[in-house]
Parts: sequence; structure tokens; C-alpha cells
Amino acid sequence: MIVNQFLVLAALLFSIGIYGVLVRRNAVLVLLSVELMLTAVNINLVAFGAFLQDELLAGQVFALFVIAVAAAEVGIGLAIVVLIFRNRSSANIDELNLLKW
Amino acid sequence: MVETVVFVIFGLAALFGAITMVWARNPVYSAMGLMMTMFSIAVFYVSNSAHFIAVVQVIVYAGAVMTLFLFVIMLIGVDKEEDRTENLPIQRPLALVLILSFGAAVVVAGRLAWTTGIRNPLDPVNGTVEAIGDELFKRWVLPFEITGLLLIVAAAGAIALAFFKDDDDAEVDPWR
Amino acid sequence: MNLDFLAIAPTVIIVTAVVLLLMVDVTFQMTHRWWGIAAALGFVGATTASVWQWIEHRGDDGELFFSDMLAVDGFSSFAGMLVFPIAGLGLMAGWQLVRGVGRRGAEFVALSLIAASGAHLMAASANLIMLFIALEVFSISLYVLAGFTRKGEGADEAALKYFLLGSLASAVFLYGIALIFAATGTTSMYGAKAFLDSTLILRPGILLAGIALLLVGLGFKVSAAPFHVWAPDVYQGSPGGVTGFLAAGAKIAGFAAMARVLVVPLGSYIDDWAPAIAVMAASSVIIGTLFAIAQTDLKRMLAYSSVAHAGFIMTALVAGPAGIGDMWFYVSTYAFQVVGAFAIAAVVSGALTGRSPLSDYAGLSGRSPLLAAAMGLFMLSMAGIPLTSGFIGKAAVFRAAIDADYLWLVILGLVAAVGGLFFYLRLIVVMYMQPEAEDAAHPQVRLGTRFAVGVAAVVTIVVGFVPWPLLDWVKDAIPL
Repeated sequence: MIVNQFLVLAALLFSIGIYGVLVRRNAVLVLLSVELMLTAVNINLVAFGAFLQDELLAGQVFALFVIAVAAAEVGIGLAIVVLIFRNRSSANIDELNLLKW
Repeated sequence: MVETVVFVIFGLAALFGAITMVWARNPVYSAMGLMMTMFSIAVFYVSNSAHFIAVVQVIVYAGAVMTLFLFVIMLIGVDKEEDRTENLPIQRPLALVLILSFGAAVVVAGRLAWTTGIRNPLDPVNGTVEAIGDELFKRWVLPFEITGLLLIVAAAGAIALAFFKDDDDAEVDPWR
Repeated sequence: MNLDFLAIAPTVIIVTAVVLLLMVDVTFQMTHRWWGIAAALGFVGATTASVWQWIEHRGDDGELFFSDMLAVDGFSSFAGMLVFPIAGLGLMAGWQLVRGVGRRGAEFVALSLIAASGAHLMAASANLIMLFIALEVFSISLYVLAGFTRKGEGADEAALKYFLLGSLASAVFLYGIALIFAATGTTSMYGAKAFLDSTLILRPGILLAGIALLLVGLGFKVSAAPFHVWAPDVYQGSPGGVTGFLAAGAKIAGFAAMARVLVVPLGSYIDDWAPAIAVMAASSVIIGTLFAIAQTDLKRMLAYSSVAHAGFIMTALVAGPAGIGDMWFYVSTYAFQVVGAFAIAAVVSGALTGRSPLSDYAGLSGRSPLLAAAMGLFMLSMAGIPLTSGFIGKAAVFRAAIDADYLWLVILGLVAAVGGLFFYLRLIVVMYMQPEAEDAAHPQVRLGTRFAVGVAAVVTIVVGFVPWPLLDWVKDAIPL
């Protein structure tokens, strides 16, 4: 079982995720991009675990924890987005410019 | 051979979904793109003998989390397409260059050896529910419990931020 | 698997307090006094447990518990003895906020407790997975606290910015952990240490990439330049009652995690990460000092000053294990100063509002001499004037860096410290020289704030005059 292919794919997905965080304006889409990054790391963890034949299953268990953490993060993130939307009727990050310099 | 074919098909699907996600103007398409990526990645988990993780990925991630996303996208309106004019026109190309160099750096760093840890020569990993449960509730029990704390934070925090009652902001008699 | 109640006692006590608070409040609709009692029980209990751990394990090799998930040693117990009282003081100083948000106050108290517990677990984690989960417990609580008033004048914006950049940093940190796992074959910090100390990795590319990503993630949490962009907006936007704990807690937890990760598993790669830390330290002191000069809002100024302080603290870390004691000295004294300063800001500018323009402080000495004097003391200490704790802290970190042959960093730090005098003294000038506005309100100082400011001021003065006990203690607070 060759592991490299998964890791290159994970690096690509992670990079696409960062690109999304940097250029998207809608807060929900930025959050989606962060989720993509976390998932890319999960591919890494599972592939490393399989390659190392880790008897403690650290890779897989870690992937499970990451999914749980991501779910919690999404819960809070969407709550914040809903709050912003209630206050300003928009979820566009560029309109958040009350605080500058 | 089969593995390579499976990888190519679902790898391309995952990349297509990811690019759709960052590129689509309509947020619903973005969410759908990510969902496609999630499903493809579940296939990779299976091919790395992580069966339970694959199931969790589909049920929790592609199922519950993405549904939540779609709810919020619908709530805040899909009709508003993003304005793509940048304050700084250089921003987008700059981000692209930055990201490409990041990806290239990771690949170059791993070019010689992705894994340098000791490889356990014994059995291949076993990703069944029994095996995961066995490890999770013995060795990893403390992180597991702390995850419970994390979920309390998520629940209490989401209520504190996004749950509004009519008399809520009145904050009557704060000096009682 | 060795179970030990003392090892998780601080966490268990905090969680018990949280569950009691939430359940009892939902059932019986308590008043804020009961929330205070629950919080006090949690914080006092957790501090006591940490002190007990400190007495048991101070200076010895410590022990690992729960299948090597949790380390109990001088390092983790010192972090507990620091973060629980600081969180308690921060909550006391922000009690007006708790009373001002109606029934949601119970959740505010619960989240403060959980955040403190997460910070302590970050310092105690002996496994990278555990560290990641503890970091998320801590960070997610802080995201919520930063936006707790839900006001459109900045709190919601602060929460969103903190959340988006924070989860980006968490993802990068996680990628770093994955690469370290690949390079060492384990997520246990002590297992990785054993592996890296005994094995020469011929192709360390992936390990070095992992270290770099870990540094980015942790650098964000402690607001070190160039990963500090969130700090000014979040400090300024978040309600006055939380900013103190947000600033102090993030420094304590972030630097505890950074120190353990760098010194324990990656200790044999100090030649690779120390230059990166030095560059981050240098850019932090420069950027923090320069930008702080231009600010007209007190909380924003303190945010940039905290960037500079992150740089000073990292100056100690370049020395590796030898600098950890100095790092702790600086972090602990700075935590008290910053909690005290933000407690005063919460009184003068309001615990529920974000902004705190410097004009609010004009003539404060006339309106409230004690507050002005305490604020002046904290500013002098942050500037590093002799006979305050800040001076000893700066001396300690500079000495550590000189011992590690980073003279250029020390010179840069000295220049920045002199530049920092400008904006710290400017606030004192505003408070004592400028006439107060006609309609300036006489600040209402409540008991909790009095206590928090008093403790912070006493610690700052006493440690400034008699630093030796603390200097002795921190020598025993080095990870095993």
C-alpha cells in the first residue's frame, strides 16, 4: 500500500481550503473551507496510521476526535454567523469593518 | 491496480468537489461540492481499512454537519451572490501564489520520505467498530471524556449566542 | 493505564461546578449570587487541587497518567496555580457583564470555568491529540465569550474574526500534528521524545514542516507577529468584562503548550526551531511596539502591547529548557498586570461595551485617584520600570536569551522596551495631566473589581520588590 498518493491529495485539498478561507467573503463559505482543511488532515491521519500499522490506532482515533471537534466548531461558527446576520442582515466579511486600525 | 483506479476516480471527484466549493458563486453549490468531497474521502478511508471512520464521515460529516450548513445557508438567503470585486485587486492572485507555494513546500518536504516513524511490522490496522471501541474506551478514554466537555461548550455557546427570547435583551434589573 | 484522581482533580472539580451551575440554574432559576458561589467553588477547588499537585510533584520528574495522556509535574501544576486564580479574578472583574446579560449570565460563568479548565489541560497534555482537544475546548469557549453581549457594535464582529482566524490556525496546527505523527510514528509527546532522541532521521523534511506548522498554530494563539492580526480587533471589540481573561488566559495556555511541545518532543531539534522563535519574537516586539504608539483606543493599544509582550516571552524560549522558568516568571507577572489593567478598563469604559477611547481616561486621577494609581502602576510594570514585577520579568527573559547567545534579540528587545515607554507613559499623562470631560461619569467600582485590581496591584508590587520566591518556584516548573 503506497501512502504518498493520499498525502499529496491531502496537501492539495488543504491548500484549496486555505485559498477558500483567504478569498471567500461569505462567512459560511469561509467556514466550509475550514471544514475542508480539517478533512484533508483526516486523510493524512488515516493514511499515516494505515502505513505505520500503528497498533494503538492513533491515526484513526485521532480522525474520530477531529470529526467531533469539527462538529463542535461548526455549531459555534454557525451560531456566530446567525448572530451576525441578525445584527446586520448580511454575512459578508468585508462589511465587518467597524474595527480597524 | 484496482486501488489505483479507485484512487484516481475518487481523487479527481474530491478535487472537483473542493474546487467547486471555493469557486461556486451560489453557496448551495459550494456546500454540495464539499459534500461530494466528503463522500469521496470516505472511500479513501475504506481503502485504508478505516471502516468505522468512513461510516462516521458519511453519517456525521456529510449527513449532519452539511445539513446544518445548508439550513444556515437557506436561512441567510441564497439569492445574494457574492460581490467578487476586491478592494485590493492583487489579493486573489497573491492568495493563489501563496497557496501554491504552500502546497509545493509540503510536497517537497515529503518528497524524500513522508513517514519516518517506526513501522510496526505486525498486523495491518483493523478499523472495525470493535477495534476502535476497544482502543477508544481504554487508552483514549481521557480525551474522549474531554470531548464531552467540548460538546457542552458547543451546546451552551450556541444557545448563548443564537437563542433569542423576546424579553432577553431587556436585561431587566441588572443590579438586583 | 494508571488512573489517579489527583491528576484530573482540577478538571473534575471544574466540570462538577459547571454541571451543577447549568443544571441547578435551569431547574431553579437562580440569581447571580448562586452563579458566583458555583464559580468560586470551582476556581478555589481547582486552585487547591493544583497547589496539592505542586506540593506533590514540584521539581521532581513528574508522572504520566491515563495511558500517557496527562502529565502531572511542576510545569502543569504551576500552570494550574496560575490560570485558575487569573480566570477567577477576570470573572470577578467582569461580574457587571454577568449581571448585564440577564439569564445568560449562567452560561457566561460556565464557559469561563470551562475555558480555564481547557487552558490547564493544554499545559498538562502529554499527548498531541489531548493537546489539540484541550486547545479546542479553550479556544471555542473564548470565541463565545468574545461575542457574548451579541451587540452589533463590535462584539459580534470580534467573535466572528476570532472564530474564523482561530479555526484556521487550529487546522494548521492539526496539520502540523499529523506531520509530526508521520515523522515519529506516535502522538505521545514522551514517545516522540524517546524516538527523536535515539534516532537520527536522515530525511527530516516532514518533521521540519510539522514543526513549522505547529509554530504557526501556536503563534496565532499567543498573538505573536506575524500571526497577530486578530488580536487588536478581538481585544477592542469584545466586551470589557471578558478581555482581561481573554488576554491573560491565551498567553498562559498558549505559552504553556508551546513550551512543552518545543522542549519535550522536539527538544533535540532546538537548533532548527530556536531561530524561527527568535524571528517571531523580533517581529512581535517591533510590530507590537510600533503599532501600539499609533492607537487612540486603550484596549487596542493593550492588544498591540500584548503582541510585543508575546515577543518578550518568546525571547526566553530561544534558550530552550533553560528559558522555561524565565518564561513562566514573565507570563505570570504579565497575566496579573493585564487582568488588572482590563479590569480598570471595564470600569471606566463599561463592562458591556467594546470600545474604550483614551479620552475616557482624561483626568481619571481626579475622579478616582485609586483607579488611576493602579492603572499607572500596571502601565509602569508593563513598560518595565524598576521596582515593578515587569522589570524583573524583562531582566529574566533577556538574561536567558543572552545565555543562549541571542544578543541581537536582546538589543532589539531593549530598544523596543524603550519605545514602549512612550505609549505606556502617554496613558499616565492622559490620566493625570489632561482635564476631565465635563460630563465624565464618576466610575462605580464594585467589590469584585476592587478585589481583582487590588490583588493584581499587590502581586505586581510585591514581586517587583521581592522577586526571589517566585524566581525559585519557576525553577521547579520545567516540564519533565
